[in-house]
This record gives sequence, C-alpha cells and structure tokens, in this order.
Amino acid sequence: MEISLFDAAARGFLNVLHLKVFLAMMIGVSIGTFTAVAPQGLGMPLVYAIALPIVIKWEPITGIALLIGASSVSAICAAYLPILFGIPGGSGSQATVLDGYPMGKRGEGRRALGASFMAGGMGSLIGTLTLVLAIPVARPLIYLMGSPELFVVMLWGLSMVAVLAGRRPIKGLIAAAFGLLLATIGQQAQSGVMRFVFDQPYLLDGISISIIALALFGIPSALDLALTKLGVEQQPVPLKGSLFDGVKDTLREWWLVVRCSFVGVWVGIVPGLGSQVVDWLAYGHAAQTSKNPGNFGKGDVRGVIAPESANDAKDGGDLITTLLMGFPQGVVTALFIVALLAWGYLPGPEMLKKNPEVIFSVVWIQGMSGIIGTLVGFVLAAQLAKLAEVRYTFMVPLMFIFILMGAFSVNRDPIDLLVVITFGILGYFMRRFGYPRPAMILGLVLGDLMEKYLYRSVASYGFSWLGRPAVIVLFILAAGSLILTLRGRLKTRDDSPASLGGAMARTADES
Amino acid sequence: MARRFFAYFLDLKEPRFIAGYSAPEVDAALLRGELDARANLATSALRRNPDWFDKGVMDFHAIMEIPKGAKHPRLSHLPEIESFAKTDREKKLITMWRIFRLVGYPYVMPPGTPKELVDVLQEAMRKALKDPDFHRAFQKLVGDEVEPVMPEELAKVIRDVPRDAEVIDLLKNLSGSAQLPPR
Repeated sequence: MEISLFDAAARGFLNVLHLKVFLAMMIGVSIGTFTAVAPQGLGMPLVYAIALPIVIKWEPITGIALLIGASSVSAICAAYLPILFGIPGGSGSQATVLDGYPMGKRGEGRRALGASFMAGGMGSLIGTLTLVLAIPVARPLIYLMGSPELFVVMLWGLSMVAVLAGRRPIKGLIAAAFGLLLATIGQQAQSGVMRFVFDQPYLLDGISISIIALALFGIPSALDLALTKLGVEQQPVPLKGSLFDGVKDTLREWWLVVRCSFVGVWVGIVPGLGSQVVDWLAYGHAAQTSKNPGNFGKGDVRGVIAPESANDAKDGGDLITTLLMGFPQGVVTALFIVALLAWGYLPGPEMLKKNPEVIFSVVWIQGMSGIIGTLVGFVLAAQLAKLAEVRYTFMVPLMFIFILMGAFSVNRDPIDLLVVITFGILGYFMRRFGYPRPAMILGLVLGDLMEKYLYRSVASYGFSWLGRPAVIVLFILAAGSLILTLRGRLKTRDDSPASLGGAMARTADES
Repeated sequence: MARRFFAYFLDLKEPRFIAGYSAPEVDAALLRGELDARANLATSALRRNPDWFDKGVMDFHAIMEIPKGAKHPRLSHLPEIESFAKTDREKKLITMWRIFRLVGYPYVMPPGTPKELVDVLQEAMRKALKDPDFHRAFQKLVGDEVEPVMPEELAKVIRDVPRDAEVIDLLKNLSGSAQLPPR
C-alpha cells in the first residue's frame, strides 16, 4: 500500500531508532574507519563482499545500517593515508594526496585533516539532502521508466567504460566485453537456454558477482600489499597544528564545498562514473576556477576540501540511482543491490512505490553515519593514524582468510574457493597489465540487466520501442555524455592532475 | 503455464507471452501498460496489491477454484474457468490442471518403499502439518497460510487425474512455448 512521503520519512526514522540498528551502524562505522586508515587493499568492495553473506541473514534495516555506516564513514576518513603518509587513499580520495601531503610535510597535517573531515561531513550532508529532494521528483517518473527506457539507461552506463578505460580504451573494451560474456553464463532467464554451462551444475546459475568482485579486488590488493610491504617502509609525519584551523578553512570556502559536492552528486548519478574519477574532477574544477591555481599541488587547503567534499557527496548521488533507478553505480552499490534483493526489496521504481520507508531509513542512516564519521575523525585523529602502521605480515594473511571465508560463505560450495583464486589471479594480471577491473565489473553487472530489458522491450513492442519519446531523450543524453567525455579526453592531452585527461589517466593507473 | 492456460480458455487473440519478469516487476509493468495481463494466485495479488481490488485499478476476468467449488471470499463473482470449456476434452484438461495445482509440491517416496516406512513418514507429516507452531512459523517465514493436503486425499486426487492421450497432448502443448492450439 502506498504511503505519503512524510509518513515514509517518519517511518524510516522510527525504523532506525532501535538499539540493534544503532549498534550495527557503529560496527559499520568502526569497520569503515579501519578500512579508511588501513593500508591500501581493504576497500569497500572487499568489506561489502565479506559482510554480505552475514548481513543478509539479519533484519533489513540492521543490515543496511552496517553497510551504509561502513561506506559512509570510509569515505569521510579516507584522507588519513594521503595526508599523513603521502599514500593515495581509497578510490575517491586519491587526489587529496596532491595538496594534503605537502600540508602534512610542513606540519599542517591536523589542519588538512580538519579540512578533510569538515568538507567530507558537509559533502555527505549535501549528498543526503539531494537524495531526499530526489525522492518526490523521482516518484512521478516511475511509469516513464519501462523496459525500453531502462535498457537505454543500462546502455548509458555501459558507455562509461570509455571513462573507466582511461588511457587504454581498447583494454577497457576488452575488459567490459569479458564482463558481458561472463554475465551470459548459466540458464538464460527468458528462454531457459543453457549457455556456457558445459554440463556443470555449478554453472547453472552463473558465477556469483560477489565472488568475482571479491576475487578481482581483494586478492590483487593482498598480493600488492605483500609484494610492496607497505606499512613497514612508510614513515609517519608528526601531527601538528589545529584541526579547527581546517574547519575554519572549510567554512570560509563553503561555496567551493557546495560546488564540489554537486560535482560529486553528478558523478554519483551518472551511470558508471563512480569514485575513480570524482576526486580528480572536483580537484580539477577547484584548480581551474581558482584565481591562483599555482598554489595547487603545493599544499593549498582547497586541494583537500574539493576532492573530499565531492567524494562524500557522491554517496548521495550513488544512492539516487541505486535506490530510485535500480541500477548499480559501482561494485559497492552492486553489492548493496544484491543485499536489498536478498531482503526482498527490488531497488528502483518498485521499491520507491512499495518500500519508501526503507529508502528513508537509508537516508537517515546515511546522514547519521556522516555526522558520526566526522566526529570520529576529529576525536580519533591521532589514534587512528597508528592503525596505518599495521605490519603487512599480519595484514596479508588476515586478508586472505577474509577473502576465502567470504567466498565460501556465499554458497558454501568448495568450488567457489577455486573460482575466487582463479579470478583473483586474473584480477592481479588485469591490474598489472592495465586492464581496468571496474570496466569488467560494469560489464558483468550490466550485462544481465541489459539482456533482460532488451528482451522485454522487443517482446512487448517489437522495434517500435525505439520511437518512444523517453527512449529518444535518454539515447540523446547517453550519446551526448559519451561524446563530451571523448572530446574532453581528446582536448586535454596533458596528464596534469588538474585536467580531465589527467584524471582519466590516473583512473586507468589506479583501476 | 497458468498464463497460457487462461489465454487459451479466454480465447485471447494472438497473445504474446513475455518471460523473465519477477512478480513485483510484472505488477509494475502492468501499471505502466507494458504488459496487458497476467495470471496470478488470488492470495498473492490481494496481499501485494490490495488497492487493485479496493480501487478497481485492475480488471479481473476469471478464476480457477482449487479445489473445485472453493469460492474465494473477494472473488466469488468471477466466472470459474471451467465455464469457458467447450468440449469434454477441455473439461478434463481443467480437471487435470486443477489437481496439479491442488497437489502443489508433494513429498513422494520411490516405488517399492516398504509400507511400514511409508506409514511412519505419513504419520510424522500429519503430526507436523497439524502442529499450530508449524503454521505460525510458516506464516512468519512465508507470509501466507499453508493448506496442506493430507496423504489419503493426495493419493485419491492423484488417482483421479485424467490420463486420456488427447488431454495429455493438449497439456503438453499448453505447457510449451509454441503458438496456442486452435480450439
């Protein structure tokens, strides 16, 4: 039964007011904090992949609290490594290193951290508010989004492989095509035809996206950690200055925070862009619109404020498309959708119609986690930094145990262990030889959906669906977005961090 | 198969059947006009979309009573599917399909299972299915009432399944994906 948005918001808030939900959120906050400050590798995809088999057995709101709490705080606290150690943080906080580390080196680490937390908190709230505002606007659009429109939206998302591929478009296409091919394994849902099953019962339902994501991102990170021995060789920089200097900087640059937050929301909404580019785009925007861009890269606090506010606002944009449109924006949101489906929710128009209170619970949890994350960042600044010194000899075996346990717990099938190792090795070599793994995941996630929506469109409308007004508009938007992206890359040949080309290049290197 | 079954008996002209929708997706597609009709369990439709009944959002055309004569309290005004049958063969087909639906998902033992073993299992099933705790747990986990068919009744209805070759042929046709046969 449909309820008013006000009732949904109230019910969503009441859903959150339970001790177990709060505890789950705090566990998520703790995990997210640890993830943000631990050496590279413990990214949110790995956390989600490990947590998913556990939380889907919980009550939905409790599980959502843990997942959203972790991802929200992880983004806010992601600036520790770049600022204190000069190590690019997780996706979305890599650009912070450009000005954060110089600030840290000249003794302004606390100021940079203060600016980072404040900008992150403000960005998170702006993203959350945008999500709230999108709910009533999205509702009337429900019936405009039929299978033909959703197919074009998926196609739009897939076109973002051009972005994810960075300087290596051919490798990006190969990775995406491989992902699409993997998505065809198993029984075809519409016709019942078996594809690439080879008489193996294991392949009847295809290979779990959770396992492939766990393998592609987890194992290469653990291997990299073992091979580079991070956590031992890095020398910490002493914390000096005041956190509140950074807070004052951020409040003074409030307009930059707002602008970059909307860059973050936009990146979150546009299918396929994701966190790989958000910080670079915001950083580029800040540098390009500054009256004295020469200070950027030398320890300008605006170079910290811009990427951090955009990175945290992006979560709100991500949730707009994930919850209201029903398609994932990246590995983390793909896994979040997997969790929602396991709880019986169908993200997208159906969920907006049937479970708006759950969407509002997500909004409340997102907002509360953002505030808690900011406070955690302030309170534990010095102590959290010590976590980055965890030795790789301890971290690597622990990561492998988590990865194998996470893979096994999906189906409790020993074959999954072989699959996770196989795809882990594949992921390691993809990273090593510059094949963007996000493009492959994008192909894998969108392939099944694209096929489903295309089948339905043709079965219901023949080819007349191509003439539907909403389809034409979406096609134009998708084509325009792709052309603008490609043109931007052609124009900005230089690889400076403040350019889109630089951002794309960096994306390719880090993916 | 239910949709092909209803389409056949309601004489729908050149119906197209689109597979691969989940239950909630079908509901949304119906509201959008992407789909024209669906066949569904009355209890599921009432639970998921009570406004379809209360506000007349959807038109309901026919119902299959399982078992025959079991009127649904909200839909007793609808014509029973058997009233659309034109021949004895079609009536037998409906009887066959009704029994299949009544049987649902039976627990069966392989031929040659010792009778004493069957008796033990039947008694255990009876005891479990009459246990109020089972019904409470089922309601909580599945969100629906369970209406188990006891072993004796199950054996009887299975014995009553029509086994005429021409009825089986028609059933095979309706359960496939080929064009519906002419009536």
